[in-house]
Formats: sequence, C-alpha cells, structure tokens
Amino acid sequence: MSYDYIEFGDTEKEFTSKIEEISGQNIFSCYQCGKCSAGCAFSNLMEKTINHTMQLVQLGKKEKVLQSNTHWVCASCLTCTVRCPREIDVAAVMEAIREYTLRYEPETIERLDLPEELLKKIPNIALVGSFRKKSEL
Amino acid sequence: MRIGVYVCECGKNISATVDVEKVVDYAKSLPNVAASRVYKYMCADPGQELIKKDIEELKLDKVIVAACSPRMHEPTFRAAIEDKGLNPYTLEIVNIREQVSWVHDDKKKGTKKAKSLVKSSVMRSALMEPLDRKKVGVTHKALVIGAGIAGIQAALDIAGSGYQVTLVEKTSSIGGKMAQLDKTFPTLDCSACILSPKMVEVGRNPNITLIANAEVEQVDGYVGNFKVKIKKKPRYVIEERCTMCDDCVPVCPVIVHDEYNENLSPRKAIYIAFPQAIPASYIINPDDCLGIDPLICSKCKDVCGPEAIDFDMKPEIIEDEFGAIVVATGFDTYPIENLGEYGQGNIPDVITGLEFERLISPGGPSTGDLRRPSDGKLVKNVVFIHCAGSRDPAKHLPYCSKICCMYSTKQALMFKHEVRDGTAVNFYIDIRTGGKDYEEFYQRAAEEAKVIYIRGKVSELIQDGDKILVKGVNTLTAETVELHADLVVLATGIIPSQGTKDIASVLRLSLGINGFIKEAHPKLKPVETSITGVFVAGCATGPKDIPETVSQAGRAAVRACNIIAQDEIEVEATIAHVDEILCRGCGICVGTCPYSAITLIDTKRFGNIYKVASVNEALCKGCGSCAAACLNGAINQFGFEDKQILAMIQALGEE
Amino acid sequence: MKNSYFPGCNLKTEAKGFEQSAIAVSKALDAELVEMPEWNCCGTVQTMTTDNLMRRIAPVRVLSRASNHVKELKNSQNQVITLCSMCNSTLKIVNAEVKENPNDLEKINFQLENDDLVYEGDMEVKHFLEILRDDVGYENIAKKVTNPLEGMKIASYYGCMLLHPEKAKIDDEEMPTVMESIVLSLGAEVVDWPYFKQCCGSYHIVDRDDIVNSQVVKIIRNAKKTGANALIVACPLCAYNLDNQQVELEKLGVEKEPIPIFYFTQLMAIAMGLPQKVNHFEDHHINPILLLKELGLIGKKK
Ligand SMILES: Cc1cc2nc3c(=O)[nH]c(=O)nc-3n(C[C@H](O)[C@H](O)[C@H](O)COP(=O)(O)OP(=O)(O)OC[C@H]3O[C@@H](n4cnc5c(N)ncnc54)[C@H](O)[C@@H]3O)c2cc1C
Ligand code: SF4
Ligand code: SF4
Ligand code: SF4
Ligand code: SF4
Repeated sequence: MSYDYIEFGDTEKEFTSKIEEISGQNIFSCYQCGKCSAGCAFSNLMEKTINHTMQLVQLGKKEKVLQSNTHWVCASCLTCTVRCPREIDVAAVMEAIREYTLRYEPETIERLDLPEELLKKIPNIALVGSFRKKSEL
Repeated sequence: MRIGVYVCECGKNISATVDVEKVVDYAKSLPNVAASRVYKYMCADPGQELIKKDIEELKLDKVIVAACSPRMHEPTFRAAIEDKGLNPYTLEIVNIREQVSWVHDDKKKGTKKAKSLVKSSVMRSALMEPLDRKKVGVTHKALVIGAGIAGIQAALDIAGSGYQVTLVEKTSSIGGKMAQLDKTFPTLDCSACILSPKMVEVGRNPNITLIANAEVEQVDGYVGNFKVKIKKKPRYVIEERCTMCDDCVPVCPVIVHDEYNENLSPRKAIYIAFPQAIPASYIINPDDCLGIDPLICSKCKDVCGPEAIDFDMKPEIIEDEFGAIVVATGFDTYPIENLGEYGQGNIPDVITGLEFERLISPGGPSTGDLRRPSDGKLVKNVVFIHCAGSRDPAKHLPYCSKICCMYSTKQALMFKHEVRDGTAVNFYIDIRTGGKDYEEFYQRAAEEAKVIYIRGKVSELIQDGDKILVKGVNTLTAETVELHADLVVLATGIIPSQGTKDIASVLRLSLGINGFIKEAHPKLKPVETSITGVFVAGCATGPKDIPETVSQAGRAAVRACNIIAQDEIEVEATIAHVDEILCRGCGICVGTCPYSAITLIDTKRFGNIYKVASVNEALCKGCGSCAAACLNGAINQFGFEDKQILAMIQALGEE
Repeated sequence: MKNSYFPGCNLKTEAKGFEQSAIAVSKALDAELVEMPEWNCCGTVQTMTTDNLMRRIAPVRVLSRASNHVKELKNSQNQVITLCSMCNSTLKIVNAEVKENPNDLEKINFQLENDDLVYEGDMEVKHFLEILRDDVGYENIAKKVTNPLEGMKIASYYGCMLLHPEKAKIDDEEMPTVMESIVLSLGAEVVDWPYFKQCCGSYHIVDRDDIVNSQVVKIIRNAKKTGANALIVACPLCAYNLDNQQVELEKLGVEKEPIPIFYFTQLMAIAMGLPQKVNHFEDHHINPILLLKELGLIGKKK
C-alpha cells in the first residue's frame, strides 16, 4: 500500500476540478500544514487525516479519497474552516466529496435502517441534517 | 531635427512577442526619424556604441530607445548620449518589455502596440527640450533613527568614515531587541557579549552624538539639507552625575513591570534597563514615579550621593540639520492576544519567543534556571510552535517571518543544554534555514541535542491541570497527535514596530502592504527609500536576522556617506514650474503635492499684490500631481510639458 | 419592544421548555419574542456547495415572511430571532450569501412567486443571545434577577454553530464571552473551561451515536474536572446530545454521575423568579430539579 504512481490524466484532473467546482475552493491553496486535521474533534475516527485528503484531491486520487471514511465522519463543525491559514473552506471540500459521491456514485452508499422508536426520539434537526448531509434527499 | 530610434530584442524577452524588425521599419516611416535600428541587447556596450556612432555620423539630436522600463536603463542611455554631447533629457524610453512583451502573448497585437507606443514617443521627442540639473549644497552630517543593532552599526560605520552622526533612540538605552536575546544563532555566542562592545563604542566615539529617550518629531527639507526637530524627553537623572551605585532602587516604593524582561519581572520607577545599558545612567519613568508631579516622594533624591536626580528636568527640543538620514526603527513581534486558538495570552505558560529569551537568560527573571511563569516550577518539556501568526493570510500575517525557524531551533537547543533530561518538540510546517551555517545548526539540534521535529501545525492549546494540552498533527505519520507540555513557546511573527510606522509618517515614506518601509527597488536598491537621501536598514524593511541586518546597515551607511561626502549634489531636473500669469492662486496644487514643495507667495502685477504658487526646486520630486491638478494649466513639469503629452495622446488616437 | 421570532422545528416539540422560557424571559426584559406566521423549516444544515440554489430557497422564504412580519409588528427592528444555533447559522449564512449575490436572490425570488413572496435582502438574523447582549444589556438582566443562582457553577457550552463560520458567528470564534456574561449577571459562578467549542457530534446522533458519545464523554469530563455542576447550551441539538447521551453513557457504564443540561433561558427564568412551569423540565433526560433543589434555588417560599 505504500506505493503510488503519480499521473495527471483526465480522470485525475476531472476529479480535482469537480471538487473545486462543487466546493468553490482552490484546492491548490493548501500547503499541507495540517492545522485542519489537528483541530478536528473527529480525526481519531477518520481513516485519513483531512490534510491527507486535501493532498489526495490535489493529486486527483479519486479512489483513495472516496474509499476513506473521512468525509462521512466529518460533522460539519467548521473548525477546520475557521482555522485554515490559507483561507480554504475545508469543510466545504468535505461536503463536496460527500456531494460528489451522492451525485455520481450513489450506489456506493449503504442504506440505513433506522428503528421506529429512534426516529421518534431524535430531534428533527438531527434527522433533517443527517439526511441532507448523507443522502440524496 | 534628426531622431534615432533603437529597438531592443532583450534576448527573447521582447522579440518573442514583438516583431522588432517590423517596428524598426515602421519607425523609419515616421517624421524626423533619421535612423532606426534593432539590436539584441541595447544596454550592452555594443548596443550603446551603435547609438553613439549614429549620433556622431548621422548628426542625431534626439534618441529614442524602445526597450525595458526606464527604471532599469534610463541612466545608462542618458549617460551614453551625454557622452556624445547630447543633453541627457532629450532621451526618450519606450517601454516595450514590461508594458508589451511581458504582459501580452499575441505577437500581432504586441507588435501593433509597440508600434503605436514608438510613434507616440517620436511625436513627443520632437518637442523635447534640453534641461539643466540644479545643484544644492550639502550638510556633512548624518542622522540615524533607532539604535538597535541596525542603527548602532550604521552610526559606527558612518562615524568610521570620518563623518559626524547623530543617533536618536526612543527608549532609555540603545541595543534594541538584540539586547534582550540570550544567545544567538548560528554560533550560540552570547548576545550581550557581541553587542556590548559596539554599544560602548557608540558612547565613546567622538563622531557620534547619542540622543536617547528621544524621538524625531519633524523633518523638513530635502536630500543634503534635512531640517530635523528632535524631542528629548526628560530623564530626571543627570547622565554625567549618575555613578550607577543603585542606592536609589531599594528605596523607591513603586513597583511596575519590567519591559526589558518582557514584563515577567518587576522593576522600580527609577531603574536602568539592563546593566550594560548605554547611556550608562539610571532613569525615572515619569508615568510610574510618585515624585515628579505632585511632589509626594523624593526618596531616591534623598539617598542619591552625587545629587544626580533632578525632578525639574523639562523636555528639550533639539533642532539640527543633516545631509542624509538612516531609518533603523526595527520590529515588534506579532501580538499573542491575536492568537485565540493559542489562548490569547490567557494561558500563563504559553509564552512568546522573546519571553523565552528572557526566561532562559542568566540575567533574566528566573536567573537562568528556566522556571515557568505560572508557578515557578522547573520546566521539563517544552513545545515550540513555529509560524505563530506567520504564513497565515486568512487571519494573521501572510508572509514568512524568516527568522523564527532558526530562533525556535536555537531556543530548543539552549533548552536542551540547560535541561539535559528534558524534551523539546518543535512543530513546524517547513524548516527554513537559508543562511550560512544555518542548515548545519538545525542538523546539530536534531542529531546532538535530540530536539524533536514534528511536521504539522498545532490547532489548539488547552490548559489541562497544571500542564498544557497541545493538539497538533504529525503530517508525516498522517496522525493527529496530542501531548502535554510544561511550557509552550510561540514563534510569533515579525511585524513593523510602532516606531517604524510613526517615523514613516513623519518622513512620509512609502510602506509596503505589510506595513514595513518600502525599498526603492526590492533587489537593487534594498536600502534606498521613496525619498532621496533617506535610507533604511534592519527589520524596519522586513524580517531579518542579525547578519543580514548588519550588512544592510553597512550599505545604508555607505549610501548616506555618498551624499554627505559631497559639497553639492544634483537634484532632479524634471520638476514642476509655474506660469505666474496663468496662476490664480487657488492653492489646489499646495494640497496635492505629497512632498510639500509648493507654497503660495506674493507677487506684484500691475501694481497689485497677487498670490501665486511657487515650487521649491529642491523639494519637488517631479511626480506631476500638481500639473494634473491645476485647473488653469498654470503648472507644467519640465520634460513632461502638456504639449508633449498631448502630442503623444494624439498619436495614440490616430491608430 | 417586539421581535419577530422564528421557532424552527424543535422548539415546538422536545424543546418546548426552551421556547416557553425564552418567551417568558423576553417579555420580562421588554424584548418580546413574537412567533412569525407561516414559517417553514430552515433546512437545518446550510449547504456548503456553491452550485445548489434549491437548498437556499427554504431559508429565503423564512426571511421574506419574517420581513413581512416585522412590518406588522410596530417599531420592530428588521431582524428575526432564533433560539437554535443551527437555524441561526443556516439563516445567517444564506442571508449573507443572497445579499452578496443579487443574481441568486433574483432566481430564488422567482421560485417564491407562487407564495406571493419576495425577499428584498433587508433582514438581519440574530440568535436570542445577541439580543440579550446588544439590545437588552447584561446590567438590565441583572436588575431583574430576584433569585440569584448561588451555588451554580456553570460551564457555558457554545458548540460550533454559534461560532462558525465567519459569516454566522455571534461572538469571537476562539474566545467568546456572551454566555459567561449572562451567567455572571444571573449570580452564578462562571467555570473557565476549554471544551466550550468542541463539537457535540451534531446530526451523527442519527446513525453514528458512537461519534457523538466519544465527544460527549470528552466534553462532560472536562466540565466536571473544571468544577462545573451544570452546563448551559444555546441549541436544542447540543442539548439533546449532551443530555440524552449522558444517560446512554451511564447505561453503557462509561461515565457515571451525569450533570444537568440547561437551555440558558431556563436558568434565566429561574433567576428572574418566573413561573417554573415554562421550563418543562419533565422533557429533560437528566433531571435538573435535583440540583436546583439541593442548592435551594427552587421550592423555597419567598
Ligand atoms: C525571539 C527572537 C530571537 C532572535 N534570535 C536571533 C538570533 O539568535 N540570531 C540572529 O541573527 N537574529 C535573531 N533575532 C533577530 C534579531 O533580533 C533582529 O535581526 C535584530 O534585532 C534587528 O535589529 P534592528 O536594529 O533592525 O531592530 P530592533 O532591534 O527592533 O531595534 C530598533 C530600535 O529602534 C528603536 N526605535 C523604534 N522606533 C523608533 C523611533 N521612532 N525613534 C527612535 N527610535 C526608535 C527601538 O527602541 C529599538 O531600539 C531574533 C529575534 C527574535 C524576536
Ligand atoms: S489547514 Fe488549510 S492549508 Fe493547512 S492542511 Fe488544512 S486545508 Fe491545507
Ligand atoms: S536594454 Fe533592457 S530590454 Fe534591452 S537588453 Fe538591456 S535589459 Fe533587456
Ligand atoms: S521619587 Fe519616584 S523614582 Fe524616586 S523613589 Fe520616589 S517614586 Fe521612586
Ligand atoms: S521562518 Fe519558519 S517559523 Fe518563521 S514563519 Fe517562516 S516557516 Fe514559519
């Protein structure tokens, strides 16, 4: 797993620019300081650090980005966004990766079965929020 | 009228985007053009020879060079034509590099634009007249403002060349930030040991007049003849009498924070900044002292044997004239209060690099033991955070502060020498060691002292019991990391000092976007400023280490000496002049001139007194603001007369 | 003074005690919250995509209705008040976005034509905390306190949506003070604790309660360690996660001795001596009454 071949073909470039387009961010502003990862409360649960994900998006490594759970673990708290020294809305990039999957590869997402009593108990805002972030709704 | 047009290829810089042959042919078709040629590098000797030869053989009386910006080679070509007897002000430069080839990529359009520009210059050239450079006398004395290592070095170098120099320092002692440092990279020699000989020399050198505890309030005049007002604040201790016995300090009842120790220790209202301070005399801070006004305490005066204390001292205004000025007003560090994620200064054991220098210094608040501010405990592990505020265009400073990688490395190394079983961890984004022996110094810190370097930024610092929880990342292992530290040192960035901003407004110097004083040219005129005769050295222009500061100070000194060594100097010839008949004395130009070169004077006409504008020829820089502002067209600028400009516009309009 | 108030979906159900206490407090402080008519869900989480106007319609509809409501209320400022950090953030961001991009606003207004609505970009969105700070003032709160909250050691929990992003923040994002200032004016003790802005896990509660739990443990342990005996929050979702999950964590044997979670206006109501029923403490998962009784803050005769 510790080998990669770097190539900037159409697939790579397309992925990068699609993420840039959806998020409205310049991915190449990232200089890999890692402050986004350092401040993220959920990084212990992420398979890849956020800055690692940013680097992979720069390189157009779509498979690696989408395979990782990083963007799904992200809770949109925006700590990374307010602290990024390069003014990147990092959370928007995470959102763009989620959106990319929802738009172009929805079949890769597991369906949820939520028990009735849970649905009753959980606040509406959580339900709507969750559906909006994690489903095509 | 015989004009020669010379088009430069600038290697491929110009010829790649401009069809130079076509431009040359086109120029031949223009009125008054007697010669038109192209050459690969006009600025090179053969290029200049080409022009000189034509002047002689073809009897040219005007020359046009179509090449790079006049800021680059106007002086070169002026000298060349002067050599053959032409007036240097009859040279015209057409910038077809910065304004054409470098900013366009379509060769057709580029060629067309170059042709139009050449045409407009041919039209102007025909109307150009020879101008004379005026000469003014020079005061053979220099002023240096700010006495950190930059100002000290500049003053010593000027004095060493045999000239008089006055050194003005805002605080009670010279030395600047370097006096606060413990040791210095990359050699680790003690800062005071290498600085104090220079400080002593300043006090002793007969060519240097030191005015400490003073500020420059006003500067008028121009190169060679600056008239300066310096306000010297009262010291309340007569310098010559003070024997530095320290008898006054124990009796003074007032206790305040000691700025020299970055407020980490107390001092009295009467004090000396540090033992090696120059001037070697105590001082009373009137804001702290109870005795000055109203008279409720005079304990120090009562015990002072040599009767050095004088509560009646008044501020003094010193007026003097200087031929050149060196600004060396230095830097401050980025305020910790702006760094919310690092505790905003509310976590006592999160300190700045300068505070660390004081803490580890044997002369500092913890007498060298490195005890931390909160509870005085000995420190076992330290975390250094690089780029604290630097390289952060989002919220803080966009630029790299250049010296903090090195000073953090130095401090980690000093810590390890002090606390052998301690750990020092540096969180960095990139390690920048671009100086002589700097990379080796960094390697030494890692190899010999086992200083740990973790690549990644710290996002947050949290007080956790009596430790500080550091939440960071290790981008190389791709993990977020946490660790507990006894002390965290922020490598806060370098910003222009308040004194730098103040002096810039007194002198009307241009500042760059980050607030540092702007150089006349970032590469080739690094110590020159927007004002002729005013030079700048050290951190006032941007972050610098000591070696760079010292070399820059040397250059600033040489440039100042270049001026004060002369008996008279030439001033700009392309200055404004007033047509008194057209002027109606409205004064719009007076307010427009950024150099205060215009005043309204009385003039007699048909027996009546009228106000008219008058230009001080030495002050005018030829910026042309007034000529553009005058509603009556009464002001024109030599070399840029309205008729010339209109001819250019007309030529451009004809395309 | 009357203010147009946008409830959002939670304040009518699980969080009715938050709403009722806030309304009672707002009346007592002459900054009355009046519910706007015909409101709809704001969309809960703002979309961070650049190319999805659909998701901005709901908030804009709310803003235009609120604008009409303000005109009906006399002497009311052009502002709509929320009690939920999520609503506050979503409405604020979309409001800023459409003000910056008139073209987008035009397109959205086109969609609102069916409802006979048009939004002119004339509204400000405020969290009730901002009203208390900027319109009411802490001194005026203190003046109304009849039952100072002596003995309460309160950790103010901001969570993320009150402070992020730049466009939506109600206070300094790294060192906010508004909740602490209110706590002080109520006569309670402020706990200085670093975890005030750690995210609670938000909507992950739906399918990843493990994520929420790991956050709640960190937050609650830090609050207890720094000496807090209660937490105040300004958002129904933070409240639910911190409240309900402490109970779950106790069941799982991860963390014992839960501490009560209050919505800030509930404690204001108690300190200001307002009728206790507005608080609906029965909806809480951790019973707050025990602590209040223990400290003698309720149940005593005046
Ligand atoms: C923590 C730290 C550690 C460092 N360690 C090293 C090191 O190990 N090695 C190294 O090479 N460099 C080091 N440096 C850098 C070094 O301190 C600077 O290069 C050097 O001090 C710059 O000198 P300066 O004279 O330009 O500015 P300063 O030292 O700031 O001096 C400016 C002087 O001008 C005075 N002044 C300001 N305004 C006015 C005014 N309006 N009128 C009159 N006087 C005024 C000030 O009072 C001051 O005395 C370190 C810097 C820091 C912050
Ligand atoms: S904080 Fe910004 S610049 Fe730094 S690694 Fe993350 S995205 Fe890149
Ligand atoms: S004159 Fe200017 S453009 Fe020509 S070669 Fe020299 S530098 Fe280049
Ligand atoms: S007169 Fe001023 S300096 Fe002297 S002892 Fe009193 S307070 Fe201190
Ligand atoms: S010198 Fe090093 S620590 Fe300082 S700003 Fe530059 S990279 Fe950061």
